[in-house]
Amino acid sequence: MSAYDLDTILKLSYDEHKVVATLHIAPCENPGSVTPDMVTAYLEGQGIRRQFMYPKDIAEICAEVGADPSVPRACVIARGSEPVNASKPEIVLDKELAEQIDRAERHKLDAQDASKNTDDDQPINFYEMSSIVIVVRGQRLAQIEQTTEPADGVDVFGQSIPASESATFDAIDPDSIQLKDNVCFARHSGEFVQTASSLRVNKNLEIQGDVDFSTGRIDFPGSVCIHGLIQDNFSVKSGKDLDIRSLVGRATLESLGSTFLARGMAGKDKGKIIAWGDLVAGYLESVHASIGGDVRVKGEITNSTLQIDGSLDAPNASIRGGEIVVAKDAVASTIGSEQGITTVLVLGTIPAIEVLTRQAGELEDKLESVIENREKKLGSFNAAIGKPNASQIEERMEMEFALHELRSRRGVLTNAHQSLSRLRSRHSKCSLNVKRAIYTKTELYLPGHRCVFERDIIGECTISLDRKGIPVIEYRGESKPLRDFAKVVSDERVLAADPDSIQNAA
Amino acid sequence: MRIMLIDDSKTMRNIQKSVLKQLGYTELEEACDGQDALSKVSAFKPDLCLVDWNMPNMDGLTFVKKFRETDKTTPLIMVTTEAEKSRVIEAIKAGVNNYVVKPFTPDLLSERITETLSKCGAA
Repeated sequence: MSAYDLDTILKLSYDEHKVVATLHIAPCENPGSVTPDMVTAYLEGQGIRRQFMYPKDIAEICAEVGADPSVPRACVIARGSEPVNASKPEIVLDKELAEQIDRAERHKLDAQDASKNTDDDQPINFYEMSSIVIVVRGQRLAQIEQTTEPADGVDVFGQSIPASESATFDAIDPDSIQLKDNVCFARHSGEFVQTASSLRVNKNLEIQGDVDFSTGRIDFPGSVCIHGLIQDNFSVKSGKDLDIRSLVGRATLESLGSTFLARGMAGKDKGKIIAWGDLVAGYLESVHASIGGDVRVKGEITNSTLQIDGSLDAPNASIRGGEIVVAKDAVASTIGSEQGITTVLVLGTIPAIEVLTRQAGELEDKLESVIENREKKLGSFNAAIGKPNASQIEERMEMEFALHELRSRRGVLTNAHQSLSRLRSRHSKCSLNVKRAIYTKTELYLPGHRCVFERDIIGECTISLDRKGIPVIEYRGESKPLRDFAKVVSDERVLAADPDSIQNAA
Repeated sequence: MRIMLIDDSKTMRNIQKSVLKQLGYTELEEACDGQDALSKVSAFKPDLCLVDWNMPNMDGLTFVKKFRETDKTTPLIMVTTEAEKSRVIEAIKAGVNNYVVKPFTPDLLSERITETLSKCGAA
């Protein structure tokens, strides 16, 4: 049988990637030429590498053809290797993060049980727990692991079949998570959220519902927005701004930025606000607050204790009861009430600076007294000795050196006192603008003065200090001493302003 | 910089210590007489010594002479009540680099120390 004849009876077929070669032998008249050697030569002629051939199967099919050449036959006679494609990557959470998530999950379950339990004696303090998983910037979150490494295949012709690389891991949010050498790190602090298809870190926290047993207390590094209520005795702390859309009760709110209370707070005398920035609120009732910036209130401020390091802007608000300390200007609709509730307003002071200024002043006086005594002692010593001996020289040197040290410290203290006075002077040009009325039993403290209103002042007025530091009132188009309208006495609750600073401020 | 204060008066040593601390020198060693100082210099290796003259056991001048037998370079400042010109010359011949007469003000001592160190540093 010639090669041409072999070509007519032998055919090859392949799978998709030509990894498997199947030999088809058609019926023939002269089976004697269908030998293993001839078939092998044929296959090599087709380009199939000998190393991938199955000699045993070739011999077998040749024997079958020899036995009965009238039957068509087929057999796999060569096989390469399939490529092994990379599997979908797996996320393995960092151990510490996994524990955090576990704790949060346990808290949620405990909270659900607690809400069904009416017994007030609960061993778990839900006010101190949290169900939010918070990560910090740079924290290691997870490792991306490849369960199967890719391996190239080879077809029966010896050609390489490249394996496909792992699919890009699209589930990671690149804005909030950094992937480096298959390890995920948080780009910023925030809430870690893992769903079936994604991983991300939310910079801001938004709670659609209430802050209650299910959420636990909130202590979040970014801004926080709460749409629901905040249950009594729970606390919310934000590393930036705090925005609360519903009414707040007896809770503790703290923000390093500004605080927005869309409705307001009815603190029941336990509610607390600490804001390093501004506070904007619908109303405040029975609240204790310390605000680093300005305060704007739309409605009432009732029975509250506020310390405001900026200004108070409440042109439509009534201030009734409580004590409001404002470092700068204040604007309100009314102060006090027709029922005669005592309302205290203190203007032009930041208490912390007042305390330091007083301490510096007291220390200065004490130091002056000590220096005076030492100077007298040195004077007496010098007067008592004629020509000093070595020991007396040393004794005098010791006294002089001690005096030198005390005077040096006095200089430092005086500089500090002056710096504090300059700081205070920035608030000396404070004013109170009242749009509608100041009612009796209102007490107003201005630098160096206490003013008690013993009758109502109806109508708009503005109270401030004149160039000499004396309280004056602008009322009905005229500027008059406030003592014509209220009892004004000297009072050092707010230290008197330095006259030079009033001049400069004016 | 390591500085050794050699004076039998603790008061004087305290004054000198305060001045030196204000100048930023905190590595200080004290000795109550010349003998005590000699026993400490090899271990402490001072970069400057302030030496009183009149001390028990071994006075300042003797200390300076013995110190200079083995160390010609470390600056020495004599801090003393001895103000006569002949005494000053004697001290300088013995090997001191500068001289401060008691009573002195902290500013004066500070000035002499700075002056001595810059001269010896330049040398």
